[in-house]
Amino acid sequence: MQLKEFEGKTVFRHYGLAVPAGAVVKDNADVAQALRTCTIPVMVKAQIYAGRRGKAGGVKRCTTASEAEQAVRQLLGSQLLGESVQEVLVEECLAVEQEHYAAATFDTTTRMPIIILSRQGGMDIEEYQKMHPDKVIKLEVEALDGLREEQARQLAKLAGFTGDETESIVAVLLKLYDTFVKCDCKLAEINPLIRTKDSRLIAGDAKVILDDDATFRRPLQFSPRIGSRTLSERELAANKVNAEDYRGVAGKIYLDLDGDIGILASGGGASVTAMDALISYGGRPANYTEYSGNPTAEKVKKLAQIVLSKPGLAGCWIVGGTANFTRIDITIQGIIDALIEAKPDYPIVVRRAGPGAKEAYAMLHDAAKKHGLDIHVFDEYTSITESAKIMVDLWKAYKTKRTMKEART
Amino acid sequence: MSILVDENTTVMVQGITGKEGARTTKDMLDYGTKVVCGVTPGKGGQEVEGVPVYNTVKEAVHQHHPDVSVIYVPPSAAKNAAIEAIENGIRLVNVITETVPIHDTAQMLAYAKRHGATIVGPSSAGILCPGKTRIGSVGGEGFTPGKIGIISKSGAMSKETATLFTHAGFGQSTVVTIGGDVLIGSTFADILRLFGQDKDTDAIVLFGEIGGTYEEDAAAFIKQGGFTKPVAAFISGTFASSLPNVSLGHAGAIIEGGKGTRESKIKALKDAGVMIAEVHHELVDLIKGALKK
Repeated sequence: MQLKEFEGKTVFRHYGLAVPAGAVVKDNADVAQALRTCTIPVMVKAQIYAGRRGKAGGVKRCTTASEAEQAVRQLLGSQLLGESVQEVLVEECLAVEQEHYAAATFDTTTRMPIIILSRQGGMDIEEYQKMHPDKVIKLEVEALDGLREEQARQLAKLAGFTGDETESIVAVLLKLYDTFVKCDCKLAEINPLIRTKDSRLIAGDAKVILDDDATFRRPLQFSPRIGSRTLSERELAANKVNAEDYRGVAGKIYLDLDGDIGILASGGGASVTAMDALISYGGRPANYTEYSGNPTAEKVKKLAQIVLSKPGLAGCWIVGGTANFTRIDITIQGIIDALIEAKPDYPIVVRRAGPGAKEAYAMLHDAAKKHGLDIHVFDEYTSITESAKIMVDLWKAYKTKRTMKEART
Repeated sequence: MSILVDENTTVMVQGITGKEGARTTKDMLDYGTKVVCGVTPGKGGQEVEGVPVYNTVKEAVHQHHPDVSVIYVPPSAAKNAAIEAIENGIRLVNVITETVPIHDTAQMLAYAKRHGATIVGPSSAGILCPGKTRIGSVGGEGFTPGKIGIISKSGAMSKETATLFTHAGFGQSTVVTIGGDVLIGSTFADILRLFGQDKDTDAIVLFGEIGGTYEEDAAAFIKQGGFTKPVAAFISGTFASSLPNVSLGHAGAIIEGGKGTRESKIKALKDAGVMIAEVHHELVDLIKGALKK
């Protein structure tokens, strides 16, 4: 989960990294209070996830209180780089001597934590690295030992820091790595790391990505989100279904999408492959979600209820690879229960295989007959890809029929 | 022959008394796997499917000398379970546990490296040598003995892939599910290296996903001459690329340098001579064609 700048700076402050004085503003009325936390002139910064917001007008330098108020009013609630601005950060202006770059993350090739340091930082760090790969220094860290002080000193030296600068940069690197580990980050990036005219090192910006798998032990908590937006009601409900029952996974990931084919997919790799296939045939998913790891019938039912609750559905695809250990009969029972409640008249395509599949097919045929559901059942001899095509064809036919019916009435 | 494990491999299950641990123990025994012991702290002295349970890995290893440990403990306990196994001399640890915190994974991988042990996973579904043995959750109908090696980030898609090949008359030598986490113990390249030395494997199928650099690293390994048998790959992720994604900051770009996308993976693999299936079921025809030559 990616944090916004002000949240990232909360993390930095918590672990002893210096950040500029200032406060976050969520309402125009709170500007005066925020201005009391720092001296004018101030920077007013829109809090969005996208990079290069400065070039898009999302960062303003204000020399008076009324200028700051005006900047906040302008930015709050505005659309910037495709995101709506819900918070602005009001901060002291630093007297910048130089901008550096420092980050801690993981390198998948070495499969180790890595620290990156560059004497030259700022917005154009990627271009700078391409032109001067020898000046953006990477150092692998032994995960069991952590970053050692002499390593940090060596890194600072390689990046061109000298004299008094070295000790202060070493202190920042040690704290940055400490933050990276203790806050269970996937990325902790300071860009720019500002060296002020009076030789202090301050995090001018913060890019922090948290490891969602470590939320249970993180001392700091942040509101859940998907990419750059907050969760919809259905997304929150699906996450809740998953969290309330530890048996198997169902609803840990649920995304509302803008199509009208409800999706109940099983297995991470299989569900993504299935979505690829559906989209390649022109199908438009209403959601993405996934259940796996042998969840209970009740848990799958709750997830299915959420999927089927979306208005305007014109199809439902229940799809998975050939399961290794998820019981098909048990999980399908949950879906059948939800279908009987919802009684949809649109086509339902089921492509499932694995333990208990034969029983599941019989249950599906039985439910279709008893409750008048339009269910089409396929086993492993119909590939995921082929069943995607069948789903899309039935969905198109249903929509045509529905349009004609609406035209008549 | 097979890689990593065979019919003589003895297995310890860590987390054997949990729901999935117990069920998998039964499934493994039914398949003929030599499950010799299990561990759950505080439950020593019990039995699961006739397999003795110990409080510590140390006791279990002392009594039974298992070759492999398969881990079914909760995510917060996975790191210590893997380290405990390696500390007590286990050379191959298969971590089935999902959602292990990435810093814990980094530490268990570092520990394994330091002690010369191999980890497959986390988030692996297991390792299967059809007709010989199965470790972990991967198994059941659809697999059959033969000469195709499968390496998959996804558990369900390993079975889906094997089933396609079985229906087309091609069995499998070993199926290895490496897991789809950012950090994993055994990568495509690591497993390819083992398959390269296995005279009973004629061709390899890779199931990859977007993100990370393991597919690109495998391509580099093949291009350098590290692996010379036919390889076909399917990379999922057209849909995943369209999802609201987080930017990885500049650090991602600095380290990965444009790798990680479906396009980058496919390009790298094609450059290395790997056959690419645009849709999943094409994998069979690609391998068929390559083996005819």
